Order: sequence, then structure tokens, then C-alpha cells
Amino acid sequence: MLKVTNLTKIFGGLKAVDGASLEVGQGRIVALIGPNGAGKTTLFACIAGFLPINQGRVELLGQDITGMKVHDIARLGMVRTFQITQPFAKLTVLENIAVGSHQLHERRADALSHARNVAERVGMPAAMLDQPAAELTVAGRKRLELARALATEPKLLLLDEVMAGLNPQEIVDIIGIIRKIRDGGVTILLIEHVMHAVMSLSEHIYVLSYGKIIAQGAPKDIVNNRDVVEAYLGRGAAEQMAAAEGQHA
Amino acid sequence: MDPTILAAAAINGLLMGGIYTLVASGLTLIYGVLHIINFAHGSMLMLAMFGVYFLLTKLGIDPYLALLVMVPAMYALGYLLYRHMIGRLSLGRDENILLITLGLSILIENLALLFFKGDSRTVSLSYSDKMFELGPLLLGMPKVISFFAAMVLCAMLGLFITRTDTGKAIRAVAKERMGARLVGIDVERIFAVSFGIGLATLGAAACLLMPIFYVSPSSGHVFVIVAFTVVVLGGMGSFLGAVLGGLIVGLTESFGGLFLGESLGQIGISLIFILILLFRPSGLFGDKR
Amino acid sequence: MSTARPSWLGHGLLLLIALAFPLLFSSPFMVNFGVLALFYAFIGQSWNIAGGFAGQLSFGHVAFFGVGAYASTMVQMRLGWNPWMGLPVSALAGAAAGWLIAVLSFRAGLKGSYFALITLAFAEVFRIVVNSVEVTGGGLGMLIPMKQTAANFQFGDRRVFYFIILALTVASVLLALWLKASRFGARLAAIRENEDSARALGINTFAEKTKIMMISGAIAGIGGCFFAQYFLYIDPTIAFGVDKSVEMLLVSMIGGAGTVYGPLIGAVLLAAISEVTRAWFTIQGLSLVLYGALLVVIIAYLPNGLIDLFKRRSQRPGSP
Repeated sequence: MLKVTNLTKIFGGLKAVDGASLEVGQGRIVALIGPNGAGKTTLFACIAGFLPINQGRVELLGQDITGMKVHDIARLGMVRTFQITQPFAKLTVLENIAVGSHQLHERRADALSHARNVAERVGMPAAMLDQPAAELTVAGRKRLELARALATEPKLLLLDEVMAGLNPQEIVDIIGIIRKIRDGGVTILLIEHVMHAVMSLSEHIYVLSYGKIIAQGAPKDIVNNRDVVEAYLGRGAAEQMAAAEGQHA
Repeated sequence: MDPTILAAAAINGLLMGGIYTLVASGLTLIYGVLHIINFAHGSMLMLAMFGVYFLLTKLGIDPYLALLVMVPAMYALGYLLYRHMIGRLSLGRDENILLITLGLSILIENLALLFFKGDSRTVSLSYSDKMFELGPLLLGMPKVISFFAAMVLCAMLGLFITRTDTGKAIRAVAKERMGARLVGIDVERIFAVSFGIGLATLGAAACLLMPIFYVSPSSGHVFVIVAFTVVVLGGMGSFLGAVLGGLIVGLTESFGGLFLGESLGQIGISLIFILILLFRPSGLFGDKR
Repeated sequence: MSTARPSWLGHGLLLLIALAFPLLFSSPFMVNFGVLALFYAFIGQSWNIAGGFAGQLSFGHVAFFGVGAYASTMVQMRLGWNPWMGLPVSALAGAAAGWLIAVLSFRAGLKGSYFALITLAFAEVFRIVVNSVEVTGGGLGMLIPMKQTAANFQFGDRRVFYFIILALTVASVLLALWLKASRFGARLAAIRENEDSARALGINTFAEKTKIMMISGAIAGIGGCFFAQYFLYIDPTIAFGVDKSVEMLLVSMIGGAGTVYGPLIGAVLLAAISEVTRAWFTIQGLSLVLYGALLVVIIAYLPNGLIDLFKRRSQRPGSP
């Protein structure tokens, strides 16, 4: 579905993303993790066309989309959400989602009913639909962000920390919803910090640190990967942990 | 074209430019610190110029001496205006403040029209017609005096901002509002002070402009475009930029008038404004956004 | 964005009142007031669809008005065309100006206050140009010779003008209603609220913004043509001066930017202030003083415009 090859993004003198390559197979849930500041959101922004790339290629379903405009990429079926939610504040929740629905539905009535549908799929209570988006809680906004993107009937969803700020119950809910979305045929690439969610949802994980992909693989392999541990906990941490385990054994 | 004429145009342009710099420095300070685009800047300058006019015609105070009156008076006006009006209305979007200052400028301009009628006023001083000789060029004395006074005042403002504690506080707030608050700076007071200084520069500019220019209720509108062009050219929030911008705008106005005539010549400034916004909105020295 | 929308009955009633107005109040003063109110509503709606609906606040909307006024006057006076041709000509001219300013400004990524300022500069450039060029009459402007026949788009009975501007205003209201109910309008609202999110959802924001500026420009241009025919005189200050920009903006902001009826409410108020101050106080410029004060007060206390006062009474929870 998505193939990123050797992507490099430079800001001033800093390589925010350094030769990153990743692949997301159709219908899979893939996670992009890494410590704060690793460049994950920047990578998303590059993939989705919000930032111009210095080097590298992005292919969607075999088509080279490097350098394409954001809205064209979105129309091809790749839609991203934002880490800091950006709702259409003065519009109602329903109207927000309808903007996404309008991608495929021209008539207002069709878009609105499709939006209602999407809202249900995402588990939004009907009472929420007529609220102005500005009045939502964090969880509501995250869900709206998701619903809006979903309403465009995308092929690939880029979810940027859709669980940040949610309480445990809300996280459980959203894990279920994400699975349902995937089961409905949407491919998902997500950035996430909530580790247990990442572990339970994703089939493949990429780890980004200082702009480079330092590891990739199935969840169980990533957890034991020494480079990954060091990226999060510091140099020498892996040995310390192994030594500690050795002592306890 | 006769080099003397060109030189005269250049020098005159630079002289006016110096005063534009003073006007723009107030605007750039207000923007840099408060992030307010003060649309009322031009009409307030006009108001200040009327102040200078009446100080002369009713009380016989020379415009240059009036500096001692106008600068503190305009400072106080700015401070109070911020405290009691603009400060309260600053919450909300950028565009709201722009609209409010627009409303203010309409209010001021038309109140002036109401009270002062539409005619232009000029002042005539004992030294209005005296000239300085610079080689083959003859330069009006008031213009030269105003230029140097403007440069001195700009330098004083610069020193104030860089050397005094208040100046440092102002710079801190301009750079990082929240951080400034966290280190104990009274940000609201700094806002009011900055707005006051912004208007004070207008008070000073008014004193310097009155001897060499005219004032009428509609001149506010003209000044706005000039001031904004200077600020945008130099970069919002950059003093060095305001200086350079002022000189460039002064030169453009002068040469525009020379080559394109009285009427079409005015187009130079608006064109610069448009071109800068289209191609280099951060200006020559501003922060790249 | 939810608005309290009158039903078909409400619409019909409004239209009836508007139609009956000049028949009930046929004094020149009242007819003039009616024309003025509708005129402001019309050009206000032009600003409203760009500024209120799409969030592109412009301070130089008079540029489109002036381009339309001059274009229609010039084809009449310089090319000898039938004055009625001025209507399509002014629409095209306004749209072209809208396109030009949009393409330049949006390519450069200008938004918010920067966009507002550059439109101001454009209007000023236009003003200076027509002021300096002979074919537009320079500083003296252009006078349309009086010949009051229907074929000449001039009417001794001012009430005919009233019905013309009423028809135009009705058309602009219908346009606004259509925008509210269409995909285009929904996209404009999205752009207004958050342009990045709009792009992420597949909206070509550059194209949509340019489109609305063209439509807005066309409407303002037609307003310019009407104005020229009504007053038979235009000059650089009238056609490109800041005053009209302010009035177009004011009428919408005061009535309620982004709503269909906001400009109407604002226009009636503004026309009332203008005519009352002129007739009773005979002081030049008092109306503008009040406009300025009104703008400040409205932005500060009723940022959604006067229409908020109507909404608060009749808003039912959960109604679209």
C-alpha cells in the first residue's frame, strides 16, 4: 500500500528525518514508535505532502506521490490526522464529519447521512453530533479527528497519536474501533506512545530515533531489541537490564 | 536627467525616510510585543499632528519644542488606551484586533473630519524658508532638522530597548511571553508601556512632520500604508529593518514623484508593499515564519 | 454553523414587505433609503461570502466595486455600448480582479491580517492608476450624461432602481442560501475554520478560495455598475476609496458575518444611520464616526454580529 524509500527531511542544518524507509502492506496495522522528538510527526507530514522532502520517494499503491499536493494525496486515498487536534471549531460535530464525507458525496443530504453513519461506526453518541466541535473534550476531539478522516473513505489512514490524552477505558474503546476500521478494509499506519496499545494492535512496528529507523519487526521482537531499549532508556540500558535479569534468574 | 535633480530627490527622500522610520518603529514595537497590527497608527499620527498644530496656533508653541509636551502626552494616551480598552479586547483571534483597530481608525478619522473639517492645515514658522546648502543642493532647514531629530530619537529608543531594565523586559515579552511571565515580569504592564511608547513615537513624529508637511483628517489613511510598508519591508519586529525600510520608502516616494509625476508617483509605496508581501513577507530582517 | 433560518413563510413575508415598501413609502427620501439599504446589503453580501463564509477577510473589497464601476462606465462612454451591457461587463471585470488578487495572494500563502492588508494595497494601486490615467478621466472622474430612458439604464422614477437592486439583492441572498446548502459552501466553511485540516481532507483550498473571490468580485462589480447608473458619477475616491471597503465589511460584521441575513440586517442599520445623520444633523461624516464606534463595540461584545440577538431568542437545542 505505502512504500517510503530513503526519506530525508532537513530543517536548517538538522536532519529531522534521515534516510527513513518503511513499507505498509495492504490491510495491515503498522506502528511507528520512538522517543519524543525522534521525528515521527515530521515523517508523517512528509509522507502526506505537508512538508517538501529533501531526498527520497513515497509511493502509494505503486504510484509515486512524492511532491504531490496534500489534497491530491488525500484524494488518492491517504489521509492523516493531527497530533494536536484541529477541528472545525464553529461547525458541529456532524458538519465536521460531513466535510470528509463530501469527498465522495456531492449532495449535502447524502454527505450528512453518510457522516451520521461514520459517527456511528466510530461509536459517537447521537447527542454529540449537534455540539459545536469547540466544546468537545479531548477524547471527543480525537474521535472526531478519526471520524472526519474516515469519512473520506480512505485506503490508508495515518493516525498521529490518536490515543494521547485518553483515559484507559477510552483507549480500550478506540483500540476496538481501530480494529473494526481495519477489518473494514482500511490500512493503518499509526504513531503512538501508549505501548500496550501498540503491542496489541500492530502487526509490524518501525522504531524511529533521531530521524533514523533503528529497528523494525513484529512486536515481540521489538520489545527485546537492544537498540530500541537504548533509544528509549539510554546507552547501556540494555546491558543493565540483562544483567539485572541474570541476577534474578 | 540632471544629476543635481537626482541628488536632490535622493537626499530629500532620505530625509523624509528618517521620519518614516520613527513612525514605523512605533508600529513595529507594538507588533513585536503585542502582536497587534495597529491599524489606527496612521489616524493617531494625524491626531497628534493636529495636536501640534493647535499647540502652535493657539498657544504659540514651536513644533520642535512641542516634543516636550507631545511625547509624554501621547505616551499617556497610549498607556491608558491599552489599559482600558485594547487590553480588554485583545482576547481572541488576530483578526479581531485588526478589526478593532480598524474601527478605532475610522472613529478617529471621522471625528477629526467632524471637528476640523476637511481642509489641510500647514504651519509656517520663522525658519520655514531657510535653507541649508549642501554643494549645489538647497535643502529646507526644517526637513534637515527633523531628519536629525528623528535619528536621534530612534537612537534613544534603541538605547532604551537595549540598555534599560524596562527595555529588557520589553524584549523578553516580545520574544517569549509565557517565559517572561514565569520570571515575574508584569506582562500586562509591559504591554501598556509598549503601546504607550508606540504612540509616543507618533507624538514625536508629529512634531517633526508638522513643519514640513500638512495635516488633514484623511492623511491618516496615507500614513497607514507608508508605515505598514516600512514595517513589512524591514521585517515586523526589527528595528534595524525599520531604519532601512524607512530610508527605502522615503527614496521610493521621492523618486516615484520625480519619474512618474505627482499622481502616479504615489504608487511606488503600495507596489513595494504588495511585492514584499508576495515574495518576502518576513521582510529584509524579520523572523522567517 | 447553525443559523436560525426563517421558513418559506418567513422568506415570503420578507419579500412581500420589500416589494411593498416603495409603494407604501414613495417619498424620494424613503425610496432613496430603500435603495441604499438594499445596495449595502448587496455589496455587503459580496464581502460576506468571501470574508464571512470563507474566512478571507479583505480590507480592500472596494477594488472589485471600483473595477466594475469603471468598466461599465467606460464601455458606455468610450466604446458607446448600451449601458445595460455594463452589468455583464462589470461582473466579468469584478471576477477578473477577484481572480488576479486571489491567485497572487494565495500563491504567496497570504492569510489573515496579511491578506487583509494586501487587498488594501491593491485597492490603493487601482485608485492611483485610475487617478493618473486619461482614459478613466483621471482625478476628475467620469460623468454619465443624463438621459433617463429605460434603454439607457437610467430612470427618472427612482423606484425602478429600487426594484432592480431588490432583484439583485434577492439573487445574492439566493446565492448565499445555496452556498449554505452546497458542498462548495461546506468546503469554504472548513477552509475558514482550519485550512490545514481542510487540505488533509482532500480540499483544494487554493482553488476554492480563488473561486469564491471571483464570485465575490463579480457581485461587487455589479454593485459598481448599479452605483454608476444610479448616481451618474464616479471618481477614483468614490470608486476605490477606503470608505466603501469599510462599509462592505461593516455591514457584514455588524449584522453577522458568515450568515445569510447578516448583511441585510447590517445594511438596514447602516443605511438608517447614514440617512438619519445626513437629514437631521446635516453633519458630514457623523455616520462614519458611528460606524467606527459600532464596529469596535460589536467586535468586542457581539463578535458574531447582531444576528446573535435573534438567535438567542429562537434557538432550540439540537436544531440544525
